[in-house]
Amino acid sequence: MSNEAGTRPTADIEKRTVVVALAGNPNAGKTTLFNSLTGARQHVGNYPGVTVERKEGDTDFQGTTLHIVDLPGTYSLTPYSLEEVVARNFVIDERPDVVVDVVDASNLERNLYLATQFIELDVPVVIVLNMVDMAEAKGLRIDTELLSELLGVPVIPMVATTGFGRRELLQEIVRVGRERVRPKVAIKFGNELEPHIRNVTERVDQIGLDDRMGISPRWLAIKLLENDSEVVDDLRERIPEAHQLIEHVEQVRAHVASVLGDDPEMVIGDRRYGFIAGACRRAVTQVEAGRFDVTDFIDTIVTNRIAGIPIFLAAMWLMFEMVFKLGAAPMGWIESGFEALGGLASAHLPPGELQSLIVDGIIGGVGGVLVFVPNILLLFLAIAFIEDSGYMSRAAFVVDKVMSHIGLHGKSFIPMLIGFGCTVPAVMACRTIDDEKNRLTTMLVAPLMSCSARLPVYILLAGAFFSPQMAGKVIFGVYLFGVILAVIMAYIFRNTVLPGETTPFVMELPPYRMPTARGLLIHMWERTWHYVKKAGTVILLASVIVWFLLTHPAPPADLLVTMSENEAAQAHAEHSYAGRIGRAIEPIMHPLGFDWKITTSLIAGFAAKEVIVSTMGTLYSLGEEAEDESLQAALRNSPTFHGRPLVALTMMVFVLIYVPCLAVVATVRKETNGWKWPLFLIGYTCGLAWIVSLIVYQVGSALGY
Amino acid sequence: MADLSATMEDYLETMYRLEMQRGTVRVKDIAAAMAVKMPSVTSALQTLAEQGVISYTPYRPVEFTAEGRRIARGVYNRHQALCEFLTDILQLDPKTAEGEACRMEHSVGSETLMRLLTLIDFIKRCPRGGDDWLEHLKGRWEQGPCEGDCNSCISAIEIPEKAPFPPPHGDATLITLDKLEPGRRGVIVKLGGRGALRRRIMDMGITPGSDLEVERLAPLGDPMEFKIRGYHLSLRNEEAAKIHVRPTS
Repeated sequence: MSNEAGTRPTADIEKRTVVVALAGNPNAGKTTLFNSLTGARQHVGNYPGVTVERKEGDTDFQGTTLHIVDLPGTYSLTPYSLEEVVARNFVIDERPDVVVDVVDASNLERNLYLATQFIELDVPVVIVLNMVDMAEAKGLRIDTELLSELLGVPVIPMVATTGFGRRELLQEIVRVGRERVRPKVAIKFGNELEPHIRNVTERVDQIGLDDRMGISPRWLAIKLLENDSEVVDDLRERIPEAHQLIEHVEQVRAHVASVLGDDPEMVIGDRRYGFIAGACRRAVTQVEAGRFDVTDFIDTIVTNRIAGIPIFLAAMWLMFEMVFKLGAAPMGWIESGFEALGGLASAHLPPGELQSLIVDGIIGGVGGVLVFVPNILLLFLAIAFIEDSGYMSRAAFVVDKVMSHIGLHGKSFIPMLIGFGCTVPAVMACRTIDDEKNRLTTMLVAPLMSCSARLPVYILLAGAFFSPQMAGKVIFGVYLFGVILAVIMAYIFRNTVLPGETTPFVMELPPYRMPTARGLLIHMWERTWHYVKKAGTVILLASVIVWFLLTHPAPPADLLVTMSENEAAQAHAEHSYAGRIGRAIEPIMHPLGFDWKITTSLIAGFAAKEVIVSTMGTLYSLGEEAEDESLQAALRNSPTFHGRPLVALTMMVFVLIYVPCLAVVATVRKETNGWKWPLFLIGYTCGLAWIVSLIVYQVGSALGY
Repeated sequence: MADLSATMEDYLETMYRLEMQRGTVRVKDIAAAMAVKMPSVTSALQTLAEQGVISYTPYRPVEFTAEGRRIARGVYNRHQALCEFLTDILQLDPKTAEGEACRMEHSVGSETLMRLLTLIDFIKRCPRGGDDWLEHLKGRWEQGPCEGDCNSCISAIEIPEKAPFPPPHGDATLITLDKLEPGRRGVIVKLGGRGALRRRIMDMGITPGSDLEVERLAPLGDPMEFKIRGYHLSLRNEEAAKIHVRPTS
């Protein structure tokens, strides 16, 4: 049914949609191709495993609509990793019309390994030989026609970044997809294995498994011989009479293992590579010795034994400075913008409930969401650059040893570092960590890195109760304590709530590439938009709730008449739900040396840490805008602290540990896609804060401080 | 099988040695190694070529035929085994042993050779043999038969926990990947470990028989980076320790 040039396709063909599954190794340029085909906004990564969500997009070509689904980037299709199972199941269950496998032409052997597995599935496959320009620069000449013949599937040379070969690819996708052209070559696994594969295939055929499972019987046979847990379990569950076959396969496996000296799955994998190596030997020629390799050269510097760590630290410092120093100005503009907006609203709305809701609840809440935007934009600009350029893997390579000691991955370093600036982007930066357990552990301990919003609280308290010389050391001590706690908690989590082996550290160091401005901007924009949309709504809601707790119910009006404005505010706070909760849980906080005023401030601190300072201003009748010095004096003289630095220190420790702010909780919810981990975060940080503060206060008291 | 004179076998052995050491076999090197003149080498090579064990074109490196390499390997192995027997068991000095072996190697049959190898292995590994047994034997060459108290001697033998020598023809040349220094190359022989890790490693193209080159260790000594199938991969030393390689440079 091929469309010869000039013949008019019939109407029903013209209407058809071809469903395309886009597959490929990480770093093969799959995402670039996806963007180039669909024009969709999606991140272009240079780091394994960026695409975890399913992304889709449409494009029209010569009257056919191509519906393209971006599969996770994987190296293989084993049942051991979630991404691989997702990719495989999509092809089996949703039966796309064609699988387009993007292959890095300059790294052909390893990339074709995934392709052989799609070929085994006996589904229509088109191989995109991406980055042929790079391969040529490396002196590789690839005979695509011969390669196509040897692999039995169409092979299209392409350069996704420039669009070279795009048209030919679209044509081939439409042709193969419409006619469902299957691979013409079956990969053979050698004389020892083939009889067993044939034997199992026949048995699969006999019970008609292939019809019921809807997949090639040979593929099923291979998977059974590989002892593929997904397939075996699925078979057991769905087809009870298959158990005989499974038993038979177990015997065959044992036999093969004894004859060939290794597990059949290893032998099968080895044969796949053998098949690929054979094809490459014929179709690829090295026309000139590899020229000067830029990647090798850069690596001798950035992963150098002596220079590697200083370069890494400099890169991290640069990133931190960029995110928080460059972000400071726009953050200031956003803050003052929202203040001005609040002032405007106050001026134009009658004082009362509505004014308070709009000014303090909504405008304050939206401001609270947007104030993080500059940091997030800059952070993801930096991360996208580090990832797309290829440096991320090197950074992980350089620091992995340090991080592996606490059971984490080299890539956990960046979120931890960012945590000193702001925990919200730190939690978002965890998405660069591939392994789920490592990712969650990092996400759970990153809040212990003291963020910049906690600093005003430390400055207020340390300034009030310690000498100027001591204050700095105390604050530094609190920061350091946070790091130590993070290390301890990471160790504990990896052995309790998130135990077990993580994905082995088998990390590709991809060639360095210059990130494209388009790729960086798409990535930056996408992450920020996600934050505003997903986390923003929760943060806004939480802000309104906290506002409500701090302002309702109002104290009796007759009480307020004689009071000054500041006294009235204090009465408001005392009378509010927050104040009442503060009083109610005071007994729990009493062993830590906290009275209801501290407790209420801490409750307000759930909204954001800097709110603690303004709440204390209100509770000590100085108004929200109280100068630090006057508030410090008030604190020193208040019965709350009895002038004891120990109480202040305990409070600093508590502020360090307990939930940084609701924005973090909302972000964790968004990143983990559920309430389990954010609730766990609240629980563990509050519990840990209480216990550690108790120890600090009680031991300090016993020592006479 | 070609019937070769002792001299011809010596030529094959030398060439086999040169091939192992340098990769190519040149007339000049053969002459130097056997301390003979170049024309003698050339005529010997012509004879060998006629026998079909090598292919030889003047001014080009010599190459073995499949048959020739098999014979050469046989001569070489006999020589090595005899040398080992003469130095380790009979405790002759290496130079004498070398000369003796050269003469003996042409007449030892394959069955005798196998038994000799088994004997060496047995003496070295059996707790009743082993190091100190050989030590005692050393005294006998000069002092004649032993007249001591066998029982006290036997009771003094310390049975070692494990064999004092590595198996002579086993995995002695294999090391684990974490032991391969940066800059060195190797061929993968065996993947240890199990389950997902092993599979993941294989999926990345680390299969038996593939070459790799260790590029560097991370600044803190772990993980390591190596090049395989034309790309760069890093593994923690802990995982690299499960991969067995045969160093090639």
